[in-house]
Amino acid sequence: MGIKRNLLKNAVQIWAISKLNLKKSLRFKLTFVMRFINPLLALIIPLFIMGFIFSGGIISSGVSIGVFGAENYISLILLGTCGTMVGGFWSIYDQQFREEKVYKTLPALIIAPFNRFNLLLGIFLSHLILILFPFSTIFILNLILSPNIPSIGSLLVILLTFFLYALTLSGLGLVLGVLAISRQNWRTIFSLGYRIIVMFNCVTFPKEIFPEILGKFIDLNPFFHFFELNRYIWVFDNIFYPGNGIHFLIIIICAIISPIIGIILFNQIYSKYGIEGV
Amino acid sequence: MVNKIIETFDLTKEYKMKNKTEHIIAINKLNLNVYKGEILGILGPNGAGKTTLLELLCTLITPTSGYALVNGYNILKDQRKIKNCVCLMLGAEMIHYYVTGRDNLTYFSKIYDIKDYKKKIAQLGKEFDFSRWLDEYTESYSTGMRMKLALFRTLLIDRPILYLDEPTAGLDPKTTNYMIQKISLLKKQNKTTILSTHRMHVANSLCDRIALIKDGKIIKVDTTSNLKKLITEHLIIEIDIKENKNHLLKDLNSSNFVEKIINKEDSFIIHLKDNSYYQELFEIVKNYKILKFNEREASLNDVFTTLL
Repeated sequence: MGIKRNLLKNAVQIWAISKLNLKKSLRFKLTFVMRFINPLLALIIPLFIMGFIFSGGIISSGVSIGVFGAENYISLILLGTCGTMVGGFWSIYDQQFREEKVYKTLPALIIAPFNRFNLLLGIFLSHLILILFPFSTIFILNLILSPNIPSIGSLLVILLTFFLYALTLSGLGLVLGVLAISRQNWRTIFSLGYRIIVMFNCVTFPKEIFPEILGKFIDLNPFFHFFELNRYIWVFDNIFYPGNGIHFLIIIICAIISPIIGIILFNQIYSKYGIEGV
Repeated sequence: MVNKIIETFDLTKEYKMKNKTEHIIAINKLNLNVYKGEILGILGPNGAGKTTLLELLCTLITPTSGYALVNGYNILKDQRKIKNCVCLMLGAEMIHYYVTGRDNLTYFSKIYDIKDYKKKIAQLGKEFDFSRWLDEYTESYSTGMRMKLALFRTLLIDRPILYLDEPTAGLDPKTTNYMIQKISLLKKQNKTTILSTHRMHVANSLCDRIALIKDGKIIKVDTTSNLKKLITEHLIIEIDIKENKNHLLKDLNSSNFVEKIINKEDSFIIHLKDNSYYQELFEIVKNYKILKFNEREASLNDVFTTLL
């Protein structure tokens, strides 16, 4: 089979998976609408807390906490909300595989003569399409409300960072997904570990609100660096701002290693344990 | 039927029990040959290993030991090649909900790289008398319709080897006959089919040979008529009795010429060791109020209940 024909076949399979997922997601319109409402609901509490802090409720007005200040906290919370939406990539494989396991459609895919990567890419693509509209809405809203508008270059790097964040989460999500198929108990433990780390992502608040000792642990959290980098680029409109280098390095390493580890573990765990309960 | 298309060699599949120390042997050193173009029925009680066997042969699961050749390819090494020549139908399952039947078929056509799928869907839709249901959501389908869609999908994928697991489970007689008719068309297309079922008349109507499986082992593989011959030395008598059923049962059990008694609600099916004991049986039953006393030929059902 020629390379061109092979590429076309793979593209058709990836799109088939995405299209089916999109159809299922759009089947119940209210569920789809909630994709817009949920992030907006998640905005309310951080906005209240930060509003109270920066209006002089806790600290003197005009004082900043990290890069968060009275003039930009709304913008940074909106930026964090975009990150929260991208955070959904963590659970895409888990949701999909559990559903396929229940309806026993997974065996049909496993015995089909097609590359597993196509399945992963298809699921990734469908989620990317699904969050595109709510993500863009909040991103554009942020550009309108932000006291400063970053340059095109900075905005592209911010979007690239979000994409790398999505890739990192997909790799981890793949491990969660295969555990959902093969080892449900391990899935729960893995999920709990992730949730504990995520608590210290500092998505919509600055790291500086924590005691210094905890701040050092937060520095070890790779996800924190995605959000911190984005905030610095947004506020200072400078990709090469001092300190960004270490954020970039961690982000790129995560975006490369996570999918590779995810695929290796997916293959190993699935080969060893198969589909649990089938 | 000389070309072996599937061969298994001491194929074994074990599962660990919950306590991790004991094992269940789902398939136990199973040796089986399937010939090109035949429909082989797999008959066995619940938990006999029928579905596990099909899952092994389509590489969905890997054996604990032993191996099988499917179309000349080893299930341990050539999974990819095997995937190109087999298709599995797991009853009415493997159907995506919240989308239409057509969405399901289109999706699987693309995944399995089926050419001209739109034309084939339209053609099969007419043949299955299913066209008007194709654009309905699958969650609104009845069991029969889901089963039809599952078979529709299997035929659309169009592989030379088909594994059909319980294709008539939960169907009414009319839909069952419909499924039998559609599956029988596979023979004309020279496809090799392994059909796992509990329904004797389905196996009787469709299968060239039948493999009886129990506790993961093949008990016997033969044509339906040869399997029936295995128990035709038994004389089979059906007796309907009005009262004193337990007394008669006791009398029959104490006799030395009864091979087997199948106790039904108001009747017995009695297998006599041979025809010569007919008179002895008559001597016993004449003392009871008998509503029916029939001698009949062995059925596949009798083979199932006698051998499994």
